[in-house]
Parts: sequence; structure tokens; C-alpha cells
Amino acid sequence: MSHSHLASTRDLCLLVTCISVWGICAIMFRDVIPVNNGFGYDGLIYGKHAQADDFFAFFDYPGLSSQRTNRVLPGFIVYGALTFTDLEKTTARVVLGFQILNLVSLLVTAFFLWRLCCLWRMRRMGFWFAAVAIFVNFMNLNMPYYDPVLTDTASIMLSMIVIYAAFRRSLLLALTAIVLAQFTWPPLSFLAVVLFFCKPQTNPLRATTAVRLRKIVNICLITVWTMGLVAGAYSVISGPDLLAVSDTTPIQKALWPVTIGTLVAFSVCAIVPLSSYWMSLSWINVMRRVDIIAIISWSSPAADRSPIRWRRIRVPPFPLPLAHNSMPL
Amino acid sequence: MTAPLIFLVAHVTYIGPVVLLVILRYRRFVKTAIELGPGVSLAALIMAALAIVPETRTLLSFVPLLVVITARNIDSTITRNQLLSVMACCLWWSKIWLPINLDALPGDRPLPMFFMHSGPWMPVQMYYWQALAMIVTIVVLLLTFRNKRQVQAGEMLSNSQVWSALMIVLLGILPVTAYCLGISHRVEIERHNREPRLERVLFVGPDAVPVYPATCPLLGAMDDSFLFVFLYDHADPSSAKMWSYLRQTRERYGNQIGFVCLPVSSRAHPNARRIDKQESRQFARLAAAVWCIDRTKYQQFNDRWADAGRDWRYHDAWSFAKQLTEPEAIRQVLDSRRPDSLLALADRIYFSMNSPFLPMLIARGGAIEGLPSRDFLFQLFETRLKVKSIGS
Repeated sequence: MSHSHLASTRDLCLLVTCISVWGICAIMFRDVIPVNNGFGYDGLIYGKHAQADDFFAFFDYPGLSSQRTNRVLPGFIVYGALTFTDLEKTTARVVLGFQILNLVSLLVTAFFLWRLCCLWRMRRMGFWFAAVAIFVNFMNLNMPYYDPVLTDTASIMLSMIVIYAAFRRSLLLALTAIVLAQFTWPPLSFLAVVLFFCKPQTNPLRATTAVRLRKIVNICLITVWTMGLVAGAYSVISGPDLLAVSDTTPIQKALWPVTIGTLVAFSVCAIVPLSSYWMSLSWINVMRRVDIIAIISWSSPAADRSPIRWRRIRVPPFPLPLAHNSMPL
Repeated sequence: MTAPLIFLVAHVTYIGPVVLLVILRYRRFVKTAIELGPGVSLAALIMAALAIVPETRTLLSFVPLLVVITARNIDSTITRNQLLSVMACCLWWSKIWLPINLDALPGDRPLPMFFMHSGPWMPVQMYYWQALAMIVTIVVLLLTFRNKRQVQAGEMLSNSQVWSALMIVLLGILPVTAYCLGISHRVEIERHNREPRLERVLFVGPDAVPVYPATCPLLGAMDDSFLFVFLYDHADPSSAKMWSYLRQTRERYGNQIGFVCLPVSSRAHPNARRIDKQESRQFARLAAAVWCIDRTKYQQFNDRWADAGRDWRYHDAWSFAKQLTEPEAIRQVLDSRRPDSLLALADRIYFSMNSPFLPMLIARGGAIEGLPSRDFLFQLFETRLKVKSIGS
């Protein structure tokens, strides 16, 4: 495959331009949610938080749940920007601040998507497919500007960073994203742990293991999705009354335990032994990468006397030349 | 889960047709996920299991992973035409062409064009339209990503035929859907000719059902300091008693306390077997119809009900409603679905409370169930809400 067919900086520039142009147009001309003067439903607390005179005193706000305190980072950035520029924290400015923050988040997402495509040596077509799939939808074309006072766009950005870090095996980047996610979208940490500590395969899986994994995925999917179909159909067939109480029907009650039970059973049977093997290798690999251990090793007098010299593995500096992007998976 | 596979429709609506592409190329998707290692496989498995949640926002962390796996899977085979088709579908589903701030019908959830993208709150009508559009998209994607060998063997459509079909779909069916979703809705709103007022919203009950006082019968005013939701049944004498207490509350505390009054249909009532179910539902529809026609007459209608007590029958209510408003207007409203939407809201709150009692006064922090004494009610308001009577 010639290099001209691979995703290049030119593609990134074009994508960034498209996102920026649409973002600016949407901020200028697109309608904004009328609820709570543009803060929306979930965004009321985030907006009020960004609007507060003292950001940290706002944690005493009555009714502020722990769930919301775990999503204060975007509000804090907007608060910081408005405080730094010494502008009055009006509702319109807070909404605009969130819109700009969302636009920046999308641009960062685009950058890491491009980096991942470079890492995988994907073709331009593949890169543009990914770009279209991730950006051209209601989630990223409308929501960041229509209902901007949310943490969704920031969490998508962090999720993209985590995925890139996992395949790039960059612990520092992953840890940074996880720390930021703790104040933006905490469940992202689970994805990070699953991705990062189950090492990507150096060698292809054995045929039997692959078939086994595929069967597990198939059975889980069929079970769960069939239940979704049956539960929905049951609600419709049972009449309009049950539409209102569908979350208390026996099928609904059984749905979650059976779903979780299916997952746990198959995980215990097959995935856990498999992943735990790879997990141990991943741990060793990760530990070798942790800089702090290297520093301790170098600074310890015992290290000088030790016959085993610690060899630091330097991550190639950014930006990577195209020829070095072929990381084996 | 209010409709079959509503979660799938919601995901396609929110994330776009990439979800459908994953399903259509399912075997290859799983193969790629497994090739990328157990971590990705496990994450994909968790994603697939959690996909049953109709609120797509809860799965946001997994969306980039879904996209990159699909992109890696498709990278080696995708052509320019296929990319353009996917782009057209994505643009269609992104709804950038659709104004979102269209208003709702009276009694319905506001911002239907916004909530149509969220599974738990997707209006049923929108669900059917979007499910139809999803089927069309599946056909388009199937045509676009068909097997080349079969095409060469003449078993499938050629490129020109596929593009013709795509153009027909884009130029024909999809704008019709757009018309039905957007413009017809706006026309319907204009026909009802009601003013949009969404300044205040109450989240009621354990499910935090949003109630917009501007779109509901109100004893009081929207800017009252405290607003309760009052669930009642016209066939229930204790509800009539409670109504008179609420009127006295208004007289005593003025604009400090207001009530959003929602008539529950008899189907929701646990004691409905002992009363005439049909008549009770007709009561509620009639009260809602009176409110739809003239909001100022609603209180008079309920005052008469409270005064009559157990002697209040449906034919009395009907003749009194005819005195209050035009009989023809009442018939027209009763023939429409406008009263039903109000009743559905009341039923939804009632079921979410999971309580056998009516009447019910619900606030954000709790609920008063059954019929308390009037003094108890006043004492509760004064101690918990710190309100004072107007006289003092």
C-alpha cells in the first residue's frame, strides 16, 4: 500500500476545518434548548456551578448530588475562563462557554482519531469513514450546540484519548485521561481498565479460542436483544396502561438480573481465564513503562551495584514519522 | 422499554447508521474485536449487553470504540461510493435539517423533536416514523455493502441500479418522512394555537416525571412559591373533599402554594372495581376537555363537583359542562386525543408512585397520600414549607 493512500496530515486539517466551520455556524445560527434559559435539564446544576461566584463554595448547594459533583470539570473550565477574562458570568456567556468547550473537545477527539488511524496505518477511506461515523450524527453535530451545558462531548473526547492510549500503550496519557474522567464521566475508568490492562494481542488467538469467544458474544447478544424485543412487544400488546408501568412488569424485572447473570456466567466460564493470562503480561509491560520506578531505580544506590541495569524504554517523540507508525498488534 | 427494540431505534437516532452497519457486518465486527485482543472483546461484550439501555447517552464511553472497531474492520474494503452513501445516511440521521425547538401538543411532553432522540422519552409516533426510516436505511446499507462476487455473477444489483435506488430513496421517501416529522407537526401546533411557555418544570415522583405547569390544569399560578401535583379521581369522594381543602389552602396562603391538578383515569384506581370505571374515565376526560376549551372554567367545574360530593354523576357533569362552554366544542375535544394525553401523564405519575392511595399531593421531596384532615394539611404546610397564612 502506497503512502498516498494512508491517512495524512492533510486529512486531519480538512476534518478540523469541517468541524470548526460547522461548530461556528451552529453556535451562531442554531437554536438552543429553551429550558432553564439554555442550561437544559441536566445542565442546570453544571450551569449554575459555572456561574457561581465561588466555584468551590458551590459544593454546599442544596440538592447537589454526588453524581453531579463527579462531573464538574467542564463547568470548572468555563468558570475559570470567565473568571480569568474578568467577564460577568451571565447565562448567555456560560452557555457560549460550554459551546466553545464542546467544539474544542470535538477537535481534540478528531486529533486522537487521526493519531489512531495513523497508528493502525489505515487508508484515507477508513479514516474518513471513522470521522463520518463519529462526528456526523445527532450526538456530535447537534447536541454540543443545542444542549451544550453537559459533560457528554468532553466524555467522548476522553474516551477517544483512552482508546488511543490503550493501543499506543501510553500509560501516562491513559492515567491523565482517567484522572480527568473522574471529574467528567467516571464510568469511563472501567473502559480504560478493561482496554489498558487486557493487552492487545501480539500473536493471533488460537482458532479454538477465537471461535469460543465469538460464540460467547453471539449468545450474549442474542439473549439480551431478544429480551429487549420481547419486553417491548409485551408492553405494546398489553395495552396503553402497561406502557406507563412497563418498568414494573415481570419481564422488565427479570431483564437486568438475567442480563447480568448471562454476562457473569460466560465471563467466568471463558473470558476471565483468558484475559487474566493476558492481564498478567500487561501488568509486567505496564510496570516496565512506569517512569517513577525507573527514577527510583536510577536514584537507588543499590541499583548501581546491581548486575541488572534498568533500561528505560523511551516513547518515540511526537509527531511520529509515518514509517514508524506500524505498531504490531 | 415501551416498544420493541426501542433501544436500537434510539441508538440509530442518536449515534447514526454506524450501529446498523455493525449489525449488518456483525461477524466481521466480532472478528476484528477479537483480533484486537481480549480487552477490546470484553469491552465490546459489555457494550453489547448495555446496548439494551434505551438512553444512548449512558453508552457514550463506548461510542468511539464502536466506531474505531468498525472503521478498522471496513478499512481495507470500503470504496468511495460506499463512503458517500454512509455519509448521506449519516447526514440524514444527524437531523441538522430539523429545527428542534418545535412545541408540543397540550399535555404532551415538550420539545418532541428533542426527546425523539432519547429512548425512554421518545414519543410513540416518533418511534414508528424512525423505525420506518431505520428500515429504509438498512435497505440502503445492504445495497451499498453488497457482495461484489455476487454482483459480478449477476445475482445482485449493479452499481448504477444501486445508485438509482439510493437517489430514489433520498429524493423520495426521506423528504416525505422529513415532512411528516417536521412540517406537519408545526402545522398541527399552529392549529391548536397555544402559546409556548416552558419556564417552570417539576420533576415528580421517583421516576422524576417532568410536569410542565404551563401545559396542565392549575389551581394557582405558575410563579407560586411552592407547586404540588394533585392527583385525583372524579369518582372518588375523598378526592372531592381534598379539592375543597386545596381551595381553602389557596384562600389561606394565597400565592405561596399552588397545585397542578391532574385527573387520574379510573383504570389506575385500585378500588376501581367498586365504582363505574367507564364513568370515572369519562369524568376525567370531560374535566380535561373543559380545561382545554377554557382554562378559567376548570375550577368552576371542579367546585361544582366538590359541592355535589357523592351525588355527582356523569350526566350532571355533562349538563354543567354544557352550561360552562359550548357543547359542540366539548364534543370536538372529546373526539380528539388531547384529554387522553393529560390523563396519560397523570397515570404515569400515579404508577411511578407505586401506591394504592388517592388523592395524592406530590412534591419533589415526598407525597401526601390519602385524605388527611384539613388542620393536619395546614400544619404540615406551615411547619415544612414555612408558609404563613395571609391573615397573620
